[in-house]
Amino acid sequence: MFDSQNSAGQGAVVLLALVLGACTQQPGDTANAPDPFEKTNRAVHAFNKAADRNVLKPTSEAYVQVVPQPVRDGVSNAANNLQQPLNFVNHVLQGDVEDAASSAFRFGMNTFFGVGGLADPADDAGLYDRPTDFGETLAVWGIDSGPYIELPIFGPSTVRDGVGLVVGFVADPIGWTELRDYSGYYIALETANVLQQRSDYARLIESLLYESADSYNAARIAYLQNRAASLNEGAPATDDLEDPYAFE
Amino acid sequence: MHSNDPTRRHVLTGGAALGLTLLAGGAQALSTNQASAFIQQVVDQTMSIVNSGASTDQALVQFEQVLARYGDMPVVARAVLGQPWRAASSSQQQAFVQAFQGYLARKYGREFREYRGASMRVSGASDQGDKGILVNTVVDLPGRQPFAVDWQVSDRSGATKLINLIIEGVSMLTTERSEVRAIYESNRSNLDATIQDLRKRG
Repeated sequence: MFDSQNSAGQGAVVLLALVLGACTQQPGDTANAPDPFEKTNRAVHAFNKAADRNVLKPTSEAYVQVVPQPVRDGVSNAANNLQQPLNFVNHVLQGDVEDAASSAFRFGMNTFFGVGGLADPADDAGLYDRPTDFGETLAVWGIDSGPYIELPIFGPSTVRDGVGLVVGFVADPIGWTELRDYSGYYIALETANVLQQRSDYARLIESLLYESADSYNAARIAYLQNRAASLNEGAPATDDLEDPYAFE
Repeated sequence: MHSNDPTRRHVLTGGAALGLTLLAGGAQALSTNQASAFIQQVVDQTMSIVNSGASTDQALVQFEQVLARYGDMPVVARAVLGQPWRAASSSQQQAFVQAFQGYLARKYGREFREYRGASMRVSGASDQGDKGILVNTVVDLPGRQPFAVDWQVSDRSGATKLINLIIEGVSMLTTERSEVRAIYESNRSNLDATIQDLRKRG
């Protein structure tokens, strides 16, 4: 997976340009945005829901019950710490010097003073996580999201964010270092972190997946609008605001 | 009985026109400051319910009172239901507004119950023209990164009212339009059955 990352990375970027050139989408009006892959997406959604019900949810519940909290906190911190080099790269590509510096200092501080990333002294020092990804970098570069897609296991995404996810795997600086020999541990760590996150967001996931009348659409709207807001520094996209008085 | 008295009729018409002008003027005059003060009130009442020792059932009843008082429920319910609203009788419309209000209070009340121990502060407001005023609040919850809850406020019904709630970018109006449509369709496009269904949900 980490071999020949250069050519794979270039290939992905070329593919991306081809795919995104083909599908541009107007901003705003998330609810009525075209959903050309709806049929496939709904099939994947049904699969994801079954995977959550049968595997992820029970495993997550067991993980949280069996593994003591200090260990789980260490796992989450370590997983987060290993994301920082890639965050740094993306912040740089986005031209965001402040967040890039923050990711770099965070990584340095937690690696050297946080027992290799198991503790999070940076957080206590006010150096909070500034999460980002390659999908966001592409958005900053002015590339449209393209249509909505629901990926198996990874869940709600768009064409742009899905490509960003793949590029992120390939381009992860961790994979360029000797740490690549420990990729098995890395994957185990990430998996444990996913189990923790399923538990942290349990209420939201229950509500979206199991209490919604149309869980596919509920997840689609939640992803698209939340993503638009996070790309807009947390503020909802104002061109997506509705005027309820317009309907009489 | 004074309908033949031209002076009186003139005065009445003039008075009504003046009243309408004032209302219309008031509608344009809602400032970001007024909207922020209004939301501060809503936030204070909401958070006092969240952080009270009330049981979930009690809290959900209290949330519904806040929603009924501050929300423009007929307008929100109408916009969410869409086309079937136009074909509905007025008693069906009333029943739908009531059922939807209860459903919304339960669903979002449960969400707000998760904010126990949090503080919520007004952090800004912006004028969105016809779409009213968007008041931004930030929720600080121990052990979590601060996150945004935004409130859309308008006085186009004559009084200052809440018309939408946006949690971390996700709009209640957008979400619930999709949900209500799905519930309506699963009830074979029968509004009375949809109303019954909504009473059980949330």
